[in-house]
Amino acid sequence: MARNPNTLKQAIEALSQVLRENINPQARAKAAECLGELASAEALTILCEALPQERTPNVQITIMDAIVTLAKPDSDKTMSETPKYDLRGANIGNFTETIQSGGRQEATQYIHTPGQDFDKLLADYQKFFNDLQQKYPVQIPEAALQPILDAELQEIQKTQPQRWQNFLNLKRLWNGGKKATFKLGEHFTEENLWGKAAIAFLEGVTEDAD
Amino acid sequence: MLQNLEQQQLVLNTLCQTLTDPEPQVRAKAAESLGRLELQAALPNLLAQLNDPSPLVRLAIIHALGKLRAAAALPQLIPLLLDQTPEIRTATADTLGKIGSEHTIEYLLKTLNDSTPTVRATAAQALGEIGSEATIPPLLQAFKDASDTVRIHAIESVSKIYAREA
Repeated sequence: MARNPNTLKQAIEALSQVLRENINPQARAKAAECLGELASAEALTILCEALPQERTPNVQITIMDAIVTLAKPDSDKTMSETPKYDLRGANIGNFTETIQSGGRQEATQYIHTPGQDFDKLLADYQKFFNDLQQKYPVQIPEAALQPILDAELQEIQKTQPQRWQNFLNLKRLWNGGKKATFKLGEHFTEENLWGKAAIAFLEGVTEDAD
Repeated sequence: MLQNLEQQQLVLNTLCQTLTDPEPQVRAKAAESLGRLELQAALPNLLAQLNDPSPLVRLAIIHALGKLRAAAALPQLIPLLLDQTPEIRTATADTLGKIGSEHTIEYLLKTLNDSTPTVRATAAQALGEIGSEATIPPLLQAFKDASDTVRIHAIESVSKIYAREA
């Protein structure tokens, strides 16, 4: 769709104003994100000027993502460490790529399983991620987490095939079971990347589970 | 979208300035962004922050140096293979593989004896990236590693090296 230059200019001005002046951090972050999608050199300049003025970490982070999106639109696609499991794809609890320091997001999702012992499978899966958090106590950037998780899962697949099969069964049940319900947020929260990775694995590609 | 040098400089300055933000996650994001944009001119700023007190920031910087394939960073990166945090050692081995310099081979070979399997596996993978036939014997030794992941990465690396030689 061809853009009307006048409309685009008005949009950039309005978004710029929100980014500079709105007292709601979510609104500022949304404005930054939107500017990042406008493919405009002017938007890039506005974002660069806004970043040093911004004091809310989540907004700062969103601005930087928008700058990268504008400056190098294909950067995500070319990243060699692009996660195998999309950590941002699932729209649960509206979680975003980064979580504000000290923030705690939880979401409730109802999952139905057949008669199988879903809780048992889930408990073991949860234990796997709890063990990982203890093994890797420092906070890991998302890009670094995925290779570690891949390696750990590969290790499970090779050394504990039954456990791996249980993970796949859980994944299959997650994707289409019929009975019990549970609250996702009681098991995995989005305050750290391991929690996101745990959910992303369950929500990721399903062919492995067949 | 970085249409001219002036704009590139603006982005570079803005992100480099953010590398000293009070919040670790903001500094980490700035480092990650510089890496994603492959802004080579950011190298001095990234190296200056490589001793950041936050491991999160250090990890992001190490990954960014890998994205930049910054051979000039080797003197500061190599000692990090002995860092006390396994994640730092893993990220460093990964970055050394991306940089691909044969000068790092002897250090990566020592890393094949690291106490953490993930670090050893990443070192084996990095040696495959560097692709020197001289690393084949120690990689063959790694076929006997206690960790399956290490063994798999060692096998893949040997395969990769021979494929390159062919």
